[in-house]
Amino acid sequence: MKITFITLPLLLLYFFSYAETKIFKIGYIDLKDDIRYSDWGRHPVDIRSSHRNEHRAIDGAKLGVIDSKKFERITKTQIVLDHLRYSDEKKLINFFKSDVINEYNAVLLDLNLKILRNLQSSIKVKNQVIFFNISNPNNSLRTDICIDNLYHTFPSDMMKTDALAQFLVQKKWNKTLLLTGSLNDDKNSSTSFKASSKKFGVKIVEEKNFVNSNDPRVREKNDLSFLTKGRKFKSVFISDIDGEFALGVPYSTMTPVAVVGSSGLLPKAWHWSYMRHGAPQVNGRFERSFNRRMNEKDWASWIAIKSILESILRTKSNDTNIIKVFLLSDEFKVDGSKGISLNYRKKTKQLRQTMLLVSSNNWVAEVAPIESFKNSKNNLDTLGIIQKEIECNINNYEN
Amino acid sequence: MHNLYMVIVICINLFFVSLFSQANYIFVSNENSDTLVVLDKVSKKIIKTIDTGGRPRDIKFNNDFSKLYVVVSEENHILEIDTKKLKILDKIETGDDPEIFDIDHENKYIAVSNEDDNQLTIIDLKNKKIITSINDVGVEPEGVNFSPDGKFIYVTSEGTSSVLIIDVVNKKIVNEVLVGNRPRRGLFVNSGKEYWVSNELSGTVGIIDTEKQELIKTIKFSIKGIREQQITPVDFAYAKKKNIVFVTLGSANHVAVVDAHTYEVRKYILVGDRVWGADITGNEKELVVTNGNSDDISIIDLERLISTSAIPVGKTPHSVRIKK
Repeated sequence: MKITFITLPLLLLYFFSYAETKIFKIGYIDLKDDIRYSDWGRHPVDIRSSHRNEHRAIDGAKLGVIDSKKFERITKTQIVLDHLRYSDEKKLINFFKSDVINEYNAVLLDLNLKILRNLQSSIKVKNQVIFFNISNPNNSLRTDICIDNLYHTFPSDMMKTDALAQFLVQKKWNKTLLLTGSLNDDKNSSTSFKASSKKFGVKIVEEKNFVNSNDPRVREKNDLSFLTKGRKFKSVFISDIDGEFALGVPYSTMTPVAVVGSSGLLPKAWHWSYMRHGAPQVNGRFERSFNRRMNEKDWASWIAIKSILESILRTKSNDTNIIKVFLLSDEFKVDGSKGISLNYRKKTKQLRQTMLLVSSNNWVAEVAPIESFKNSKNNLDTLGIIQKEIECNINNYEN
Repeated sequence: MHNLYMVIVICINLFFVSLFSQANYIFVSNENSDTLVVLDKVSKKIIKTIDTGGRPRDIKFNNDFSKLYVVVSEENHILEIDTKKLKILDKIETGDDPEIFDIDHENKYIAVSNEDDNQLTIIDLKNKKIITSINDVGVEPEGVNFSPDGKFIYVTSEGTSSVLIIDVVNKKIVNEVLVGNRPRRGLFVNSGKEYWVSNELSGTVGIIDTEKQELIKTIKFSIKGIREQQITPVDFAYAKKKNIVFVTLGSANHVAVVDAHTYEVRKYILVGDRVWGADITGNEKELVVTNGNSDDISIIDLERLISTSAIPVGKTPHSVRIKK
């Protein structure tokens, strides 16, 4: 009897303290062989690709978890992160169909377009899990998927090209030559830039395709003297996701013009050189923890975890259904250390955000939206695909 | 004899004039020109520029206004400055990347936030030595205030959207109160019964009841013609006699005038670009604010509640303090 008197309160205390801190499980999924992170770049012959040493965004998620420790006093929630890496696409797809994924409250997706398309229906079925696309900019993922539980923290191509179009218009450098590479992603980026040009008033004077080669027989496609002669323009927009050809465009044009897109001035969600709005503190924490500079995918992972934390903090709940609703509500505001508070678009579930226009990969020259561009509701909506342009389940987005 | 008498009178006059003028300085720290600028309070002319070294930010006086303390963020110390001779007297080590600090009413301690290390460092002001550093003060701690009774230190944590309450005797965190997004600074109002916090990204001021240690009220700002997202409150100034709090609204380029009794926003005063720091004159007739993006300070006439002049001071003025 005595023992029960002692053990019962102890047991209760045990259960109470156990119940005090809840676990919120987050998965980070990527493929072992992802061409976006391949040492050889996208072109089979390319050895100088600027993407050769691109890091995966797992460290950004880890920083989110490190920061989350400081919230535990209030949230009584511990965030646990698992890195799930698959060497085989089929196994990854099976994992999405299995019950194992239900153990996760949220999953960050660092995946290419093809596999994201394949996973579409599984994501929709697993509606108790919140998914974040943290690395794919493809516009169509925002417009014709419309899944309730898929959020995008990485900016879309449209947000990126809108930011550049605003910049060119503001500078009056808006007579532009458009150069496009051979990859699908290059074509998507150019298509997006054409839509942005229409939106903001950039005049595309000519469109040309380039080929990354030294073959003298196709010099009108690989020699910048040929590619950039002819009609008068004040800027060049180059779509070269791989980045190798783009590197050579500045200072090689026939007339002295600005280069934007894949080199010259690049639109980024984040950059280590940004010095305002608390960005140096975030960059500092990242660099001290991971010994490298924080890139835009790291930021997208970090802000996804921060979005979850903010929701747990404000709703005082760990329930993914409650969090899902809160993420899209007007009360939701998250601090991305980019100046103004950020939130998600209701239809596309895209995180509204400023874009940093980074020159020569080492300095933030401008932050978009550019001052003179206003939207009737939210200035951040001058970047990207906004609500009225799309209807869920109906693909009415041009191209 | 008469001449001698005149000379004596003039001398006495000059003595008092000089005494009087010594009490009339405005100090402004320029974050990006690494200087502390001293202006005459009446003429608003710069009379001296003191080189501080890397990134001077917060400024505070001791309780008799004889000394001024300036945090120099990149050099990890606080400068002690003689407010009569306008000379640097000493340096006080603070730990890494100090930003905002406070001195308790009895001038025993300095408490300073170390933004990068998520710490609060407490320094003995007499022997100028670090007593202790308190860890896990949220993420990116910023605003620091001793409660008027000297028992607690309130720290705003930008990254965790909270205010941490630290016991001065035990030097331990005793409570954490959730507020709005990115809380920047705090201010004790109504004889310490309330602690006001500026939530930069929520565009609000949160009010904590210091007895219950709970958030009791949130004041929302809205200015016609200015986007909600531009309203980014940062610093405070307090007119105690009138019980009015002035809140600088950052990118909204306005200062809010808030009745601390009714919580009603009485007016928004247009000032310079990205208004941050603020202080008020002893007679509560003038308010001075720093405009970080236009490199100047605005002088506000508090009878008429309008900005009367703007004076260039240096690059990215951060904080302002007026000798009382």
